[in-house]
Amino acid sequence: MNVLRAIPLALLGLPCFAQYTIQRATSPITIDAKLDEPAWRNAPSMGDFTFNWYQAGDKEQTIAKMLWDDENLYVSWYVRDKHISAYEKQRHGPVSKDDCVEIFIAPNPEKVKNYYTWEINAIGTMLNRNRSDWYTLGATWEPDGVEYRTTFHGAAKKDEAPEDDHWIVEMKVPLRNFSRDAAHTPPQDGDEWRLNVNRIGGQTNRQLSSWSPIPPPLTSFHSPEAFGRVVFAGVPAPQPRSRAGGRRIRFNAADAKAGGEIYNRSCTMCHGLDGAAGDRAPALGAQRRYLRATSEELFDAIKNGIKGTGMPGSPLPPGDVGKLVAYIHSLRATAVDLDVPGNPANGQQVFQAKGGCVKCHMVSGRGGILGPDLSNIGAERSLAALREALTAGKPVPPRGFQPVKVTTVAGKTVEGIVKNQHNTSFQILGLDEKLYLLPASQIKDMQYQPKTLMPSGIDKSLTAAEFQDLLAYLSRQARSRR
Amino acid sequence: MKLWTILFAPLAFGQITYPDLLKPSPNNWLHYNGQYHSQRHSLLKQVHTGNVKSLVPKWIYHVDAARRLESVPIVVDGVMYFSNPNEVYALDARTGREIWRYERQPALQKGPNRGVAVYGNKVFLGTPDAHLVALDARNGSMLWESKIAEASEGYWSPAAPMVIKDKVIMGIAPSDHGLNGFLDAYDVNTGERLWRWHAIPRPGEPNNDTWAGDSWKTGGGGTWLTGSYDPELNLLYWGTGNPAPDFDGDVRKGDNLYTECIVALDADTGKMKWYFQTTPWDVHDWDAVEIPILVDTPYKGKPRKLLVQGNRNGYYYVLDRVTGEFLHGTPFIKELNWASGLTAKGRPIRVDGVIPSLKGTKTCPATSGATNWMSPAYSPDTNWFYIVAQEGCGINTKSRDTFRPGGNSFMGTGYIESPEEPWQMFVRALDVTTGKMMWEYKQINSRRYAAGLLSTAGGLIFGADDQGFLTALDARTGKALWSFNTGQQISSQPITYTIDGKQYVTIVNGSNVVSFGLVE
Repeated sequence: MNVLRAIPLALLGLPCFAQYTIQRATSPITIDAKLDEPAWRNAPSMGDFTFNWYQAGDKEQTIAKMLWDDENLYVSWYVRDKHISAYEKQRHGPVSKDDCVEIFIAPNPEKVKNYYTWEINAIGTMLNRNRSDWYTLGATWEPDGVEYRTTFHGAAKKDEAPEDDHWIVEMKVPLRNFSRDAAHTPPQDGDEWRLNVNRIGGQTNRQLSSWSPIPPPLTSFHSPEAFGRVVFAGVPAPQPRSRAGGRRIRFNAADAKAGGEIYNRSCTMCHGLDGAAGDRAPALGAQRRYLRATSEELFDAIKNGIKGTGMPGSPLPPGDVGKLVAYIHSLRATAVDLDVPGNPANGQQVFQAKGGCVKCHMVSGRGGILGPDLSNIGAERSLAALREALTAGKPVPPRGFQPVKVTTVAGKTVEGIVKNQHNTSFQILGLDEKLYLLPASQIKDMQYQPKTLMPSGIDKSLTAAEFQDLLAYLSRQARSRR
Repeated sequence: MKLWTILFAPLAFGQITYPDLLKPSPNNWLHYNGQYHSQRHSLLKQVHTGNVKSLVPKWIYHVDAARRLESVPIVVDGVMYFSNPNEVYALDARTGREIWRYERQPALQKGPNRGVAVYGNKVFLGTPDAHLVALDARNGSMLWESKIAEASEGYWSPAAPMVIKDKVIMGIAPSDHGLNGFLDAYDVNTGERLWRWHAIPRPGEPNNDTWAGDSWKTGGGGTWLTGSYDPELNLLYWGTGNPAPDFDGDVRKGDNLYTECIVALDADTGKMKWYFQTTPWDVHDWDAVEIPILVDTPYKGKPRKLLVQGNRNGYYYVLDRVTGEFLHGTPFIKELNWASGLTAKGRPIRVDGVIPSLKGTKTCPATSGATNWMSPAYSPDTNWFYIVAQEGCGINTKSRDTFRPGGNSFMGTGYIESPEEPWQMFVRALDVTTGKMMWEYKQINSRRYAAGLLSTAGGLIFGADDQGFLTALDARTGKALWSFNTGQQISSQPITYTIDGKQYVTIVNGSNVVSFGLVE
């Protein structure tokens, strides 16, 4: 138990300080003090501010929101205010005498006394303080790359006016500013920080309010022990932009093996054996968007069934369900996740010599260019897909590898593969490994070849051991992830 | 047969050789700045002052993932290569159709990237995670990668590489994080590092004493743009970036060599032959990385090998590039308040008090600079130097910063645009030896940096602006002859090439490559 978290609050008799989950930004955010992006509209408010040292006057509320993405933390304040005034123009000047908002952030929940402040008045003057133990020089600091805007940004001054109703502050802070203290940069799902968000009411109705309550005897916003808890959440699964960026599912091989036995015993009344399609239910070894993908989804589906389908909940103990999940992951794993048996060094020899693969395929900068580069193929394909590509081949040539024979108006013949094509022009990589860029007007005849250049039945031209070694070699081709 | 050759020559992959790089065919665009001398002057003249008004867009290639492209395309025999951070695209330069693309995984998000270099059958790219990557020019396969520096320390590599003989010359961008800069050479075939020139001398090396105390350790001196090369002298010319912390000079008294310098390095060894410092003890973040243009022209009646640079500090410099001797310097902007002139050796005569202060000091030019990364051009036809200039001032403040490792900024505070002297962009033509302004073209309503310049034998200067317009100016008069709204801010440099006997002019805007040709 964290001492700072537990004891002072117990002493103060406070049930709990404020909590908030910072969601991922769902759309790009422009820092313009407008808050009109869908991301802000969808973001939940942090909740009502507490007027810690209230005596009299209007309790004007503040709607604060926070968001994050891989690079930035976003904070917004929508400040209800009938008397808006600000005069401080000096960087790091005493902005708190004006209408002003603040955020104090402690990125390490174990060290709340190490915190950083952003204090911004209505005309956009900012003060940044730090109260950290390692930062010994100066009471102010220069955060890196912060962008912010206020409703009255840049004005020489803001006098109170009859039409005053509200003002807005929108800020973006690059997460690298917190890398010294934070557990992860960018944060990971579930990371916890401590912070407070404050507001000061300016000359008229100078109320002091904060998101996380600051109970007596504390008398200052600079009370990190009362900072609220924020948790970073909503990390979407990384969306692969290419197959090379595909997600890696981790599983325990022993569990997967045990799970396979349970699976073939318990699930094959509907699903097929070994992950194939069954009479009444889909193939679980497939990569289909509608199939449950995460461990949690799979576990829930097995344990509780899937409503509206024939999938029942299972009476198996949770340990066995976990093994089933591991097994299903293994069915969907990429080849590099499996310890494919065979001798990879011999497989490399086969790749380069007897198999003839290197004539068309490149691995780590060596080989031909007519076929796809296989340097990362183990991380892109399942073992089953690798085996299938080597044995059965593809029914139709994949995009970018369509073989073609072209006769030009000038009578020349080019054979190769189509990298790109349109009614108006063709980009062809010749069998001679040269590129031919042909306007349609130069083409007299064009014959698409029905089959890919990739031979099938590789297994038949190799011994069983050679083929297994080749699989072992290819399955291990995965560029190291930094 | 001739038709066949033009229309159907298989593209000469693997054929870009060192002699090609020395004397590029004008039909290609083989270097970031056209040729090793960086003049950005093309001999193509199918498009000229008389017909430029008939220039029309021929194709547009859109990059979905782009935020703000700053890449300068390379064109090799009808194939165009350009970059987005972590990405390279190969296009059919006739049609804008994609041939292949490379995407680096995982992609560290840090930008921009200013382009690639091509040599043999390889394409070279610097990355946000400070690697140099070699791709197969025919299909984008990665051939090798070499770590230049630790990205986690804050290093990154936005510059377009340059290939000389069998070496890839590559700079680094570290200055604003308090990291020391360097310039590297890598083997084109293996990625092995062959030499490294350190921009900040270490203890025991000459000029380390231009740094007070230990301040050299966090000295800066980035090399974040591409330089120039003189094959006869075998000298590389590169500009170096600002000292760190940028705005607080109190903690680094001294001239802070070799920040804010133009240096000449032996291309084989990386050994420094000479240096010329434009802004000793800079406190305004006026990186001297601007493109040095190499010009052979009579100076005061005698033929001379010159190096000229329009510097971010507001001065136009003329140097002897054999010796580094300062020959001449004159402001190319009207508002300049930090120096009252240059000494006979080219050292600025500082105006007292024009240094950043806690409350802010008006400084002209602003830290954004009298010019910046946008490439200048030189036309041998006019013997004029063409530059994008920013008039206006900034308010510079300072604070006491502490170096924090891990890529944190180490700036000692910053600057804002002066409310009384707002910024305004110009294209200016200067007499190359005297720096005398021959004409200027005001880019009305353009206040921020945008594109660099391209000169052509058609008597044209192509420039662009932050409002998205590509504009052709008459190189002799500065009169605008043609303009096209590409619809998005431009932050790249125009290029030109020929394929199938047709000249194209290409500009990269925020997320598109737009290629123009004469209407048919």
